Amino acid sequence: MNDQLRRLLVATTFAATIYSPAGYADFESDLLLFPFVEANHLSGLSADSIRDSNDNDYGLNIFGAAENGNFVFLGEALIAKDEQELERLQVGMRFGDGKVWLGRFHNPIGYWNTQFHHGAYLQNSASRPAIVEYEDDDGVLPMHLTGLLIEGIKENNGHGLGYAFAIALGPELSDSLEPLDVLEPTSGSQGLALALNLFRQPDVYGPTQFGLFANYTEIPAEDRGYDEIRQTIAGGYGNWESDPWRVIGSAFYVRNRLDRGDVTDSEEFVFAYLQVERRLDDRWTIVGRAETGSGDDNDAYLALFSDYVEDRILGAVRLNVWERHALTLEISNVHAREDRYRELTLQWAAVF
Amino acid sequence: MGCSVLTQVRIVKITALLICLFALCPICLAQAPERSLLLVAGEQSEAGTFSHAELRKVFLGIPVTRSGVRIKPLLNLTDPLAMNVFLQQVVFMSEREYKRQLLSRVFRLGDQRPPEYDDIDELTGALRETSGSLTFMWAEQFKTRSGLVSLGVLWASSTD
Repeated sequence: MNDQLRRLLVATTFAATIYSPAGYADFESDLLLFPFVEANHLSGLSADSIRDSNDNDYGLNIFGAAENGNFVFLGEALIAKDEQELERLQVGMRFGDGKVWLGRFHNPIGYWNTQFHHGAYLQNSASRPAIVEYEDDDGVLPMHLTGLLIEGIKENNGHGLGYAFAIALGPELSDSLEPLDVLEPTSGSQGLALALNLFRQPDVYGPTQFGLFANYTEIPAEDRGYDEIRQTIAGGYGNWESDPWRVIGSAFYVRNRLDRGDVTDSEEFVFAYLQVERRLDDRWTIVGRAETGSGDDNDAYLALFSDYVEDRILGAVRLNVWERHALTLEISNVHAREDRYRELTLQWAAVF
Repeated sequence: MGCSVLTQVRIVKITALLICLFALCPICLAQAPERSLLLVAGEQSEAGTFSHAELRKVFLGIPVTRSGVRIKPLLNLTDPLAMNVFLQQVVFMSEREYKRQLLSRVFRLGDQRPPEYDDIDELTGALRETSGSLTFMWAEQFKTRSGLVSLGVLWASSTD
């Protein structure tokens, strides 16, 4: 499918889904636009590096939510320099303090993936931690699933007990992990994915929360010489906020079983990141993040991802230029597979 | 031993001063108008009263239903002080944090943000016309508007 047709299909499907029930009396909707422009400069690359020393990206993430009584609709489309995709397309129903969804959604593993995703304005760093990188950017874990999602929060004496459970189709592995494409659902082959996230909010509906998660995915990988990869993930996370401080951290244990004919390899690694943010005033925020892994040096699964980042330390400054506009300058020291470099990123992000 | 004349004079002066203060106190209080922030709905509302915890939930965009009607929060931006008092007394967040939370909930869960009104006539019209809608406003704003009902006092204080 050519890019122009794909852009048109993304926009049309998105609009039709969100606004189809607009004639009903209880219909309510919300539309958010997240534009971003980003420039990157890499220095210290090795002579045979596969990376460009200068790169840029730009795009618009269109988000819409609508509801009619207990029925809820949600759609998110990304139209960017190198990508046009329906990121999320969900139809759901409320029950009590929860929702049950059908469609394509963010995999509820950890905190970062569901909290920020393509809403660049919402996060204070320009980059995402490597372990939750998007599939298109050589991410190693499934960030999108398609199927059934049940999520909600139960109040208990002022605390919140939250849950998210998914039974769905995961990605296949070709050039990169490829989640089911809603516009071309028969174009790939997908396997079973199960995900569970349980969390506690000390102050119900407040920003601070701590949780545990697990994920199992069967990833077809014939294009990469494997019959199937069975991936199991377990981990914990926390987001603690006490103005002007915010700390986000997560640890992942990842085990991959790679099946090729009668041969099976089992590989495992762990990865963790910790991000500390301090708001200096209403305009300025400083950010520091460290992320590192263990057991990933000769991992056969990670060897399938050439851009995988093993360690990174970064510092960033975010300036809220005007209301709903942010400029972020980020400097990082990166250890990727077979490469070490420094990266300078300048990003403008906004929400309308 | 009796008190010296000087001590007796001081006691009389202090007593007189205290009597004056007590006497003037009601006058001072009467001169300082009491400001009350009210929870207000359209007069057809059957929503009843709300605890602060329930109100916080409503204004964070979490669905709450009363008598089969979904409660719809409306944000009153006609007076920055009213908004600040509301945020401090009900939501327990700064305005920046509150708006970030609303944005985050919409993006993650598809919930709806409360509509914002910076015109008191439009706000009043929306309260009258939209079933289940409610907002907060100063008592003096409420008194000059018809077709509204107060569901309770969110905050009251003497100010000068």
